[in-house]
Amino acid sequence: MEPSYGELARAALTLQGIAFAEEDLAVLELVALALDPGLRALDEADLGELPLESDLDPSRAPGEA
Amino acid sequence: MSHPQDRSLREQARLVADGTLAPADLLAVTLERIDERNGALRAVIETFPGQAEKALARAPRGPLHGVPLTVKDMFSLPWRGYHNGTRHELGPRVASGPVRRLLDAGAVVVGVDNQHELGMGTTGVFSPHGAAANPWNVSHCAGGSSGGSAAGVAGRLVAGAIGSDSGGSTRLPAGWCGVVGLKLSYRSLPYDGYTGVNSTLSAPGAFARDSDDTRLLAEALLARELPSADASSLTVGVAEDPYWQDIDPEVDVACRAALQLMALPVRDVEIAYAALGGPAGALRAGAELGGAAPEQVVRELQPVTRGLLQYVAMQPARRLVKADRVRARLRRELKAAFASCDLLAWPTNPAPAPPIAAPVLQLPSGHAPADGPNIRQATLANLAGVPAISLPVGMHSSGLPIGLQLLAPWGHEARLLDAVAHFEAASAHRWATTAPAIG
Repeated sequence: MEPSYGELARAALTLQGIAFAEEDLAVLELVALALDPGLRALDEADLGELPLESDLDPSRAPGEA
Repeated sequence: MSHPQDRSLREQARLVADGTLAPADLLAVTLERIDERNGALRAVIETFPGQAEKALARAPRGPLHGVPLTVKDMFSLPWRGYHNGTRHELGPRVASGPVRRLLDAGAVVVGVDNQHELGMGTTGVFSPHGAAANPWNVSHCAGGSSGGSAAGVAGRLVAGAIGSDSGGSTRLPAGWCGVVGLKLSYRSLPYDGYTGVNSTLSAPGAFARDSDDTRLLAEALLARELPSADASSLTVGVAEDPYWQDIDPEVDVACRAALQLMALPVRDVEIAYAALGGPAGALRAGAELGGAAPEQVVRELQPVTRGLLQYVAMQPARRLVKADRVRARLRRELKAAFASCDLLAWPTNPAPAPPIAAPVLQLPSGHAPADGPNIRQATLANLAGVPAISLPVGMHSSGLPIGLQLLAPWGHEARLLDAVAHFEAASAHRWATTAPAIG
């Protein structure tokens, strides 16, 4: 039998040492329902050859000193 | 003479400078106005009559000499560290970088504005002080996270306020409240004493009722002049996908009509991977905004905010890496887009402000919690670091304002203000001078 979302979340939060109350788990499941689709799209996106560049300084345009 | 807070920021500054209005009187009537109107709006969470009087006595004769302003709860003051929308003082008691710039210009900080807790929401509904209300309909959201700042300016408690913007937190409430909201370029002023000091997304923002007042505030914050120029030849890029999709039909019509009225050259632009900006921005913003909150603060948060923090903390690191790859790509895409146009334009909010009791947007695709669609419209400017502005361009049949958003290249705040001034002139300043009926 597959674990429920609450069981998975409880395990993940416990493993990472993140404090939670039992009543948080139902809210967490709702948050996941709202945000999971967007993050799955991020996972599945093909970004081609684009490397993780070091030029992420938001104070200027990429490639400009 | 009309109430000073029904006058513009620049008029207040001029009246003080030429001796027509005593700054102590301006301070007193401003505090009275806040007392009169704040009960319905919950825009301001704390005022400082004593400290403001002392600050006024020391205020230099700068361009904002004696002018009362409010600041979001993300900026520390010498007598109050920021609380960031919680009940706890989380920041040091110092004049934060942006506040120093205001004080150097002679402004007087009279109060702190309400905000969404930890800045983690675009509606403002979660605040220990109650949700900031929209002055156009107090049962509707002012927005977030800088909702109190927008509501205070729209409700004419003050003529100018400072907010911040990590995922639209200045522009989104400005759009919903019918005021101008300018997100500054990333790191264009000192960040010490500001919650955004460790953020790669956050930038302070200026709220005012029109472009001239916003320019005055932005010049003080940036400590440099933003000379005005003719905007009539600026080219506007329109990225239909995704920013003009799934928009409330009246919002769509009003924003397109505003562009038509401005009569600027318009061209279609494509921003590849823009649809991934929303999740990439939301993931990074969630990690940055609440990541350092102490355990006691987290325990006292509204369940949804705590759930967001826990959800983000559970995400695998590979997702953040992917989000940063998207970010790198979007920054390049944006730079390429600005090679063919001077500005980008799309609706600030996909729909007008929802009720506080049910902060859900009615979109052509159906009902949706407000944060996702709002962040989709806003986050590109934060991921890239560019300045962006929301200007009021119309009124929805619900009686709530509609905002148009403009983005410009890094450091080009003046261009945004020129474009807003251009629209204001073309629309006979209609939306900049229309005020909600309060009190």
